[in-house]
Amino acid sequence: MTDEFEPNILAFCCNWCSYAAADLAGIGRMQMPTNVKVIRVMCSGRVKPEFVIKALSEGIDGVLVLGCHIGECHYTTGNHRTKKRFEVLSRLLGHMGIDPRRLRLDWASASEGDRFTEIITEFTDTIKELGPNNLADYYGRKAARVS
Amino acid sequence: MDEKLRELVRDLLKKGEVDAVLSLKAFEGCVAPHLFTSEDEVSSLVSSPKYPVALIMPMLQSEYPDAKLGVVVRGCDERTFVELAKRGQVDLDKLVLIGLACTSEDVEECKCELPYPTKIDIGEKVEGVTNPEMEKIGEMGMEERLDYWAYQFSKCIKCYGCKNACPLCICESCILEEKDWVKTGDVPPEFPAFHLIRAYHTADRCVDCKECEKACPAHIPLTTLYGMIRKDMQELFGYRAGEDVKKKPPLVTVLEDSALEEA
Repeated sequence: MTDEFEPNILAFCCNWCSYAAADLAGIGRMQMPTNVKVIRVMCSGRVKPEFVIKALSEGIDGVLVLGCHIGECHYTTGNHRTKKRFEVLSRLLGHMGIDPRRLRLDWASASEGDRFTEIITEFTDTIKELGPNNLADYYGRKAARVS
Repeated sequence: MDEKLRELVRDLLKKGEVDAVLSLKAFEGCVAPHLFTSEDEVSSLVSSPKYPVALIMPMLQSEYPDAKLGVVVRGCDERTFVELAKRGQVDLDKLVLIGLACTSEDVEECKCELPYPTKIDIGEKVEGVTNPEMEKIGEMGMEERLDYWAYQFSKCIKCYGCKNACPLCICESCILEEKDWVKTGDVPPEFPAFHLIRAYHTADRCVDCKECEKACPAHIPLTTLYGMIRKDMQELFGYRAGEDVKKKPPLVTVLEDSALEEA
């Protein structure tokens, strides 16, 4: 084992596009880092900004929110709201002094297994570069590390 | 200034343009909100200190749904009414707003950006100022900012004063009181989740009335953070809370057609 920092990353994937993309990447045996834990949601619009805030606050190093491309949402406009909300949230994180790069919103359709792999790889690299998120250690709390 | 305001209120009541007027009443050395129903009472009406009268209006209107009510509003009160109306809390058609411009002392105290209502009935218009703290934080680096806020929020005693004083915190059940989101028994509350969640929730409704900050016993500069988001909302969506009753909050609407192409 090396001592290299292995980040804990959370990915919210929508049932109809990005989760299917993850599936496709798996079936296609595409190679990608294993730092990501996927949470399936029915739509990226289900991901409340509070989910992301809470995850970062509890010590998750990075959060990915993946949905269908704009215009391809299974519920027509679910991802419109996601896009707007996360633009605001990302600015808010910046004001608080939390690097907005710890949050990434992106789109991957059901046929884009390669795109999914690319996003995961890129994001894992970004987070490795940023280093561990120590928000959970504030005020004497202990991080709930996932091993 | 107060005398002129009393004159105006008496006049409205006499002409029967309104059934009652909501404003502040001075009595026994205190000032409290009061619904003035007769001309005789009006002699005890005062315009200061600043008080969020909008906090009471939804209650008054549900009690007297047919009444035509007058209300003395400062700039921030008027914006609050606009945001409340968007969310179905007040009926603007049944309200007569009596506009009161804040004095330069008020502006200095609040660091208010827009210290006057759209229609000024009483007082002189004074230009607003920008909160100097916002610029200071803007110049800080990421780590410095985080340290700044970690210190500020370490003072929080989780009294929920900010939430209770906010005239636009209208949810019947608050996420900050659910134990899945905020652990009970922790003081100060979880950093940064507690305050980030509240800040996010104010994004499309904060009208810069400063009530949260005034209520805060720990003097946390909450409106500095909220002010920064308010600025973002303007940059991102051209949206200013309290400006236009017809403009829907951008976080609940879909993207414009032009933005549909690709993000």
